[in-house]
Amino acid sequence: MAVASLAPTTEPGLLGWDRPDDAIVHSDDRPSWIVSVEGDDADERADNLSALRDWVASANNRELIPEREHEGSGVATIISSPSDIGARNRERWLGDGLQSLSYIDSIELNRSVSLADPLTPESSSAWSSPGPMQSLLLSTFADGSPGSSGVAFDSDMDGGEMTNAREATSATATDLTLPDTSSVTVAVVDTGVSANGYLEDDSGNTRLLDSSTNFVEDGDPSGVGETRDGNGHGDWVAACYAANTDDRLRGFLPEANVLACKALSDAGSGSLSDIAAAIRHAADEGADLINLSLGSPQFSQSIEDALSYAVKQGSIPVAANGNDRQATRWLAFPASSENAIAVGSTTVDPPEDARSAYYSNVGPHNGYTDLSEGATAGAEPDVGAPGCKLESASGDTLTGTSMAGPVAGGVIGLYVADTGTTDLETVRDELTATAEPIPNAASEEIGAGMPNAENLLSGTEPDEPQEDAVTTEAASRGAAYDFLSGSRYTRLIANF
Amino acid sequence: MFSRRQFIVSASATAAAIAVPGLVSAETPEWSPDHITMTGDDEDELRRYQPYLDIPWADQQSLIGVYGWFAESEDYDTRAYYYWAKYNSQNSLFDALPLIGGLFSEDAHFGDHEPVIVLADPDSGEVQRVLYSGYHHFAVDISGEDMTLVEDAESYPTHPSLQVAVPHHHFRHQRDDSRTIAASSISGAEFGSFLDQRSSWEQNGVFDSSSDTAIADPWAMSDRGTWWDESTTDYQFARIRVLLNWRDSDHDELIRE
Repeated sequence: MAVASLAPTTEPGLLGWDRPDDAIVHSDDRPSWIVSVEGDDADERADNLSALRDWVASANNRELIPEREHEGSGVATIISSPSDIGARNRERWLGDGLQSLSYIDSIELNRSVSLADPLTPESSSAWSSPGPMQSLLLSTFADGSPGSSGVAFDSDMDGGEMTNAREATSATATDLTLPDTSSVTVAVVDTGVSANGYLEDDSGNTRLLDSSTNFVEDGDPSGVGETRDGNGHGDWVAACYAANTDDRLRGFLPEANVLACKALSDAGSGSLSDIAAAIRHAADEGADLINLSLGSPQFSQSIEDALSYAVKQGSIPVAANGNDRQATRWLAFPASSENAIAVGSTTVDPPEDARSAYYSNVGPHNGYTDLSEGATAGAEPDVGAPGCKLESASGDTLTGTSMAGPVAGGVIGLYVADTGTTDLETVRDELTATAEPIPNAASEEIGAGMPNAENLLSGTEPDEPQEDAVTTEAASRGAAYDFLSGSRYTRLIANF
Repeated sequence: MFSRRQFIVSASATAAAIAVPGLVSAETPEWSPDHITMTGDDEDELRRYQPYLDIPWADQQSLIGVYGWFAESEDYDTRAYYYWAKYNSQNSLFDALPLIGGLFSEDAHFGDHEPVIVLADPDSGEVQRVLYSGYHHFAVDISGEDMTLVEDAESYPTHPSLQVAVPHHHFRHQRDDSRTIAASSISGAEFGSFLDQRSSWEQNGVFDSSSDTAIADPWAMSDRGTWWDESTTDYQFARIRVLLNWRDSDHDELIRE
């Protein structure tokens, strides 16, 4: 069991356990916990969930949240004291608490996750340089430097509209015969999706599905009117995918169905439990794509388990790299999961001119700063897509990897519509093999390059792969990231 | 002389028949001892010998349910009805004590599960013996003659009259049966099958410090005198409590006294 996820802030002493600030807390100061039970098949998981229900009923200060119980994957969210869970040092040493029972697979503290706005610096003058120790190491041992040159800052971003993003990814009618996308369902796990007019089909019927669900509200109400977005983030994402408007702001999949999974509040934050439930709901509803324009610098076993379940059900999770390259640097989670397509952000330009955005997180992940105990080590972006000052039919012009993710997801959606393929690894292989190189960016920033719908649907590989096309400047940044992520020794030094 | 199994087959023709065709299992659970020839958990049959409880309102609120099973054996002439009352346990102040908290916390491994066994004559239906947790999973053994029994659906008394001790939920002999109610009638509490619950309880460590024999063999308790596994430290702590007489003043006499 991952100790870090069970009790990330265990302190010295017998009773040591200090609740982190982002813990979801209920009445009587009790946190909630996401519990996964053992079980190789559905019957065994059902038996073990039954045992968990009995455990919850056996004390007066424990509760099970009914809407967060998922029999298919053997997961439940419960409310209980840290001592009953066994999070404190005393219970761990004595082998007490829920964590000690053999039918328990994992327990994770339910925490809050927020949308991350792109961080400063917005200009190259504010780009923070490596510290003296890092600089010394890089100049001595590495082939590059993580400098600002070649990276796009705010003043470098001209921005654009959806038509520009579709042109940059060769997803227009002039590039290819666009497939009918009405068979595609896109789940938007976000701040909600409102039933806006641009989500209607040509007959005036909304393509927002009745099974759209609000996981933020008690009881998980479902229905078209239950997932209204009071933030704008989710609406932007839905519009990028599926807006049926004139060419200027049309989405990539203008006939697709949208499954809104409101797992983030209008303020842009949500719990791990709600997000995991939303991912499973999307999978159970048969979503082809699950868009996750959200992330955390900390690994989550619960989200990882939900993604694994979704992939097995035939869904393709698409995740944003994260927007704090200057702080946490490495891919946010779930972009760092092997069960998601990770998307970095570029300017709204064709691949030959595009530049990596200053905020866009990079790989390869070192696998330890996110407390994943190595699970995310080596994770890199799969592709990079336009995500800077991009206007969608929602009416907002937004910036971030949150925007790049749906652009890449839109290209993938065209492939799904054309081929019916929803196997994640097949899609990843085809997407990256056919992506066009972005010479101004390192693969550590944008993976294999920019998704290209024309190439993807025709199975055409680019003339030159990303590693051959990259400029010396960009390659230098990439080499520096490789080095900084590298050995345990350099990881330790990097903290100076 | 009939064997026990022969009795079950033939008894349905008699007025005092206890075995009801279709309500018992010819296949005994893998955890039951070899001498047990039949087990069952039919609710109507369980109601026949269910305990009547004198239980305060607050403890009724924490009573999750009473779960039973019954069994017959080729080695004994009685039929056993074995019940467990399950409560949601309260947080103990002792829990905050480092390391030694478990010494003072009530029933660290049993949780709050309290057993009652009724041994009845299968021919006459009369109660022969009643055994129950009289203090901290040490048993009290009282003959049917000496036990206060409540007469209800049957034409003879079958229900042991017991008081639930506060706050630890073990039992005392309640001689004033007018103060008791049927366990199955307590509002909000479940009345059902122990056989359905056993696996979950085992998975949750309820029986970690108990004797397998005590849980699986209702006839063994007269000799054992305790539900604890004597090799465990939990038993030693419990024994110390008995020896130091840290008990409620109105207690019944334990087998091991």
